[in-house]
Amino acid sequence: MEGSKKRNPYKTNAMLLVVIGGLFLLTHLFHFAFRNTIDQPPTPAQYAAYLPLDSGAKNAHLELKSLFANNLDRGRLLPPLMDPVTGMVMLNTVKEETNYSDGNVYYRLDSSGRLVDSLLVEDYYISLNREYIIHPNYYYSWFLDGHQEKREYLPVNEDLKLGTKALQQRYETLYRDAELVQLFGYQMLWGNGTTEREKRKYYDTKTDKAIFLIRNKWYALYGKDLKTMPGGEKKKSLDTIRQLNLDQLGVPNPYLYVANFRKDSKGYEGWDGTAYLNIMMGKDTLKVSTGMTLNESVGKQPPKYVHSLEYFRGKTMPFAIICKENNRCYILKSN
Amino acid sequence: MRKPQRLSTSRVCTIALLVSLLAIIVCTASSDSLYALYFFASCSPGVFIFTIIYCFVILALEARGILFPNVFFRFATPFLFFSLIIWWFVSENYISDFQQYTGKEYLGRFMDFAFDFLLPIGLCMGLVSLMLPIAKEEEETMA
Repeated sequence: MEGSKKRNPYKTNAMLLVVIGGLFLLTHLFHFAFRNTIDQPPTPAQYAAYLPLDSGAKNAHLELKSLFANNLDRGRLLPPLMDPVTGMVMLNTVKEETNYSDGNVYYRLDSSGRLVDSLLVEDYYISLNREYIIHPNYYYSWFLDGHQEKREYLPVNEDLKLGTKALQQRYETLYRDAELVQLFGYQMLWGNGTTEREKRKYYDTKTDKAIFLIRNKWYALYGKDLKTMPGGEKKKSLDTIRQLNLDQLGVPNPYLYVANFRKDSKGYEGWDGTAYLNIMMGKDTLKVSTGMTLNESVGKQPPKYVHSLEYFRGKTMPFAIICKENNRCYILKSN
Repeated sequence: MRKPQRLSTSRVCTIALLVSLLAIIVCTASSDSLYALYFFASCSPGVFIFTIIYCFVILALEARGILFPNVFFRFATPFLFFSLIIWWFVSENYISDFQQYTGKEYLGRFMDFAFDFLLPIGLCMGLVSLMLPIAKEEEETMA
């Protein structure tokens, strides 16, 4: 009990506290004092002249202008499309909002790269057929004429009075004249937003719907088993604009490359920092600096860095569309 | 040798229950989202069991003479120990690899960490250390 071997718990505990506290202090010393001395080399002086880019930047020859006024969370940008006849450009961003609707925002640029108009469509089952925005129950001809209202299909056989033979004949005549055809099976129709009566009338009789574009008017044919009629859909897409490949970081190319990147802090899966961009068009170069996130490849030595810049320019386009991190889009034009 | 402290079942269950309640309240209050309530509530059986084990471990350590049976020591020693372990594991999320912090910034980052982790575990451990019975000196001398 009173032998010298007996541990003094007070002393032991005090020792323990000192050891753990010491380790804690050492950890902070390492984190703060030691790691704070690690710095990256200063950015070369040549990059100080790069213009900061927020809503735009311009020099004597080139101008980069933000396409959208505010930088809201506008969702995923789909590849831009161009009407080969008029040279109009359509941009489409999609954001999943709820289970029953997506927020589709469409932007229309004229052939010189000016933002003319935009349209918000919040619904499910939205698709594009050439320049028409198609929903099973309505369509928009907005890209052609700028009208912002929903348009109704001209109904054919809405009362389902045509017999099988007559329906097939009707289908074939419509199909022959139509430039574009799209088919909807009854399973995806008559869901949300239809009344119980409509549902009983159309869903229970397995009524499909086929839409036909004939001389700039859309007709909707109702009937059974339209999906299995011969011919199938006639769907077209506007021309996609060529996207130039800029995946190699720091490797010069003749349109856009990241000349330098200064790391500021480690983000979730990469580095946040400032990118110094060389943007070129023809013989002119615009040099801008902008905040950007670089993704670092995991487990590769040396690590690869991937940026999220996109550059779209068709062969005949007088301007280029540059997108940064999917939600900032710029138009590059020469003055 | 100090006589091992007897811990009644009702006592340890009360402690564990209070600690799991306190953990839910503190964690939910310091988080932004109400969904956190569900998350922390679903963790509470684990907290409950862990607290019971923790109480017995503390008492065993005190019986061994490693911990001094005093409210301050039985709080501070495990608290410091767990803070160190947690800091080692999660510090990467609070301080950047490429840091150039001033002392104030660094302190701010550490305070973020302290608010997220040290505050809840500190309160819970403080409660445990207050509620655990302390061995009586007389018993020792009589034994």
